[in-house]
Amino acid sequence: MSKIIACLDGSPGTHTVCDYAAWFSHKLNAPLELLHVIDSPKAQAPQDLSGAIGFGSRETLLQELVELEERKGKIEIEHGKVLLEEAEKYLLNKFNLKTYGFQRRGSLLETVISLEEDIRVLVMGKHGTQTELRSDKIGTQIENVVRAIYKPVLVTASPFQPPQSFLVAFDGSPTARKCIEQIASSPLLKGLAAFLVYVGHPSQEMQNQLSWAKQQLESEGFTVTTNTLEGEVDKSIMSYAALHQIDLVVVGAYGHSKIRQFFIGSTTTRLINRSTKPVLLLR
Amino acid sequence: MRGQTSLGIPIPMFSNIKEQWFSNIRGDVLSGMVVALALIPEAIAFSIIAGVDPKIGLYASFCIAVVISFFGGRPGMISAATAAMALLMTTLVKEHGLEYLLAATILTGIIQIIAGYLKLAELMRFVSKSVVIGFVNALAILIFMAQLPELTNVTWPVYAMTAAGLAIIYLFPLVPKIGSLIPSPLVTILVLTLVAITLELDIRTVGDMGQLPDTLPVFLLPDIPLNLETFNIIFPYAIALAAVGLLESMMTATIVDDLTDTSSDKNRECKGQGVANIAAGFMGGMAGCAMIGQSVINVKSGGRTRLSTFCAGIFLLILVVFLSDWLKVIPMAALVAVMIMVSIGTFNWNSLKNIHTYPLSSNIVMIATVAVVVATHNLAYGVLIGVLLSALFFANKIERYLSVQSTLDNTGNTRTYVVKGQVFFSSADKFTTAFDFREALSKVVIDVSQAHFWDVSAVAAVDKVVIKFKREGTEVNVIGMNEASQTMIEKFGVHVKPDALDQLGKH
Repeated sequence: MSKIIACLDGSPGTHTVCDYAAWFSHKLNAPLELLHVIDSPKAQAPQDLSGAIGFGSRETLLQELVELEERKGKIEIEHGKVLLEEAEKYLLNKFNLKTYGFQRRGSLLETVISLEEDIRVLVMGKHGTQTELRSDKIGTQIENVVRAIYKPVLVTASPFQPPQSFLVAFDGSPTARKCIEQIASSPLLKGLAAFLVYVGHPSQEMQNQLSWAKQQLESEGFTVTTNTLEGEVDKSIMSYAALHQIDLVVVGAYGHSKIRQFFIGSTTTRLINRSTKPVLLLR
Repeated sequence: MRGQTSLGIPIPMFSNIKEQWFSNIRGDVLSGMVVALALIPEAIAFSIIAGVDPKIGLYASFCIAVVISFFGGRPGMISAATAAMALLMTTLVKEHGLEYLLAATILTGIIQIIAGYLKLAELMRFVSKSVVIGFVNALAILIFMAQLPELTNVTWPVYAMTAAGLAIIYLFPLVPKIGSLIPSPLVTILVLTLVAITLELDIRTVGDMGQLPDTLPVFLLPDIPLNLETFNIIFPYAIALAAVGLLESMMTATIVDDLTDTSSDKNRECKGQGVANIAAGFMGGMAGCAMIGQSVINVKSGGRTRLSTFCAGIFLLILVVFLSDWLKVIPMAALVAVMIMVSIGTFNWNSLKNIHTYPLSSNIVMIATVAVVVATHNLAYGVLIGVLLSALFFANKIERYLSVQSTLDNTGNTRTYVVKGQVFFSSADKFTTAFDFREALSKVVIDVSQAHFWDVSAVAAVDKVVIKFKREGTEVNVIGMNEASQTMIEKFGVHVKPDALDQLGKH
């Protein structure tokens, strides 16, 4: 069964993540699950540089390490439980939504990949605990996760606002066309005003592409406004979104290889960085 | 679902490097130093075992530690020149010389890389816990025995020095504060060296054992004729070295896995060992592998990532090249004390304590492994014997799961035999003798539908029974043969499905 999964880590944006996850859960009529991943490093043993090994050192060492990690592990589980319980209570009070919280050990990436089949939409905060509120840096995990799974990922930001409208960044690439088809066929964004935006020099080819996209969406009952902008992709899209009070930005994420990104950077990453709106990444 | 295992996941390269190299910098650098200090006496001692200059072992230890830190599959494990490998080289060095050893080292590396690509690490599942314990204990005994030449026909100061050295190693860590900050083997070496110099004792020193490194290692090709004759000389040694090296590396990797509660990539480790040995061979070093004692010391000192292994190699080189004049005056007694410590620390003492509680067959496997190794000085033979014995004991246990019960019908003319359990080469005779051929009957029914026929011996046994009854004039009807022989390994395609066990149970 597909579920909305919200990743919680106790960072300041936790409530926003819950809010958006609840909104999607309502919209898609899908159950919401809250995930807390324990990926902290192993406990540090006390430094013993004596370098001597004697009778049963291996066994003693193993026993010491097990005890240390056991204590640390218990605290981590407890901490995560409190976090999940609070989130569950918050969602129950605010949205009257019953949710299920669960914990996993390992890296977030591994966990998300192993859960991929069950995921309908993954909701994550923009900032992890490690990149707290430094707006120039997105959470270290987001890009890795988005690249690894083929399910929609919502990166939340700013205070929650129930989305009324959304903007699709459209460049005519195969990724973007897929993205349009996905939006058209899914109940995810039904009933929201759609803004179809292309950034670049207008050309006949582009006009054709845009009208194709518009038609795709309109045939599924969307109200569509199209527009062509000039300038840098991320900046123009963001100022357009601010101007039209758009609540959600949708992009086809990471269409290019990692190698290419290494040299010329990724529009997607820049967009997430700059965005004051939540960004829905489709693959 | 894609990429469930830790290997298949497209983990981003950079975060991986950070995790495997720089997630524990302080602990790794410090433990690297401790390990480097302990590697010096070991490398010298193992060079002496192999019959080469100490610099061969020291260069090897440096090369292997540094290269394996990049190419290995088990972060935090220490590899260098080892006793297990050194013991196998002795005759090669004696009969053909150093250059052939270097060539054999390179060939060992090539074989290990091939083993890595063939995923031979997976064969380790046939090596039972008892064999592993036997291997480790045998290794500890070999390391200890290798010290005996230094302790026989020597003057009393040598014994006194060795005993004092052991006392310092084990008592110094008990000193509050500094005891856990300064490696006690280092203290031992310093104290014994000072004593030997001040008292002007006439005892053997490291300098007497051969040449020490005075320069950085340089790339060189072994000076040997490249022909089939050379290959025939070095190949048997290389095969043995590759096998023992991989065995010890895999076992050490498992020990480090357990201690740190993390997983390792064993096949990558095989390839890494290969690359490291090739590098060692070209840098004038002898073949090596992972070290159990040093890896335990590394984990105990706080080392966890590749950085610890890398630091151990680099510190070793710095110490050796810049302190070689000082290394020369270290009395051999100090090294012997350190090596006895390594031997004690490597030995699995719990195995002696548990010998009463373990089943006899496990103890026999363990002791046989140790005995064969001590007799042959080749750990591979010990493991081979251990694995064979384990397999035989296992077959012996499984053959007990066979029962043949029979009932005579009301008329007294037909007897039905019901066979349940495992029929294979080992239990085939038991199966055959369970039938009473002397009983004069007109008809016999053999119901084998609840038996599992594992091999050709089992099928042949049924044929034999049928023929025997026929010769007695009894009509034989075998039922359920198809279901039973479906379990024959060759046709046994169900083992990949989760309900394989249920299907087995249905017979």
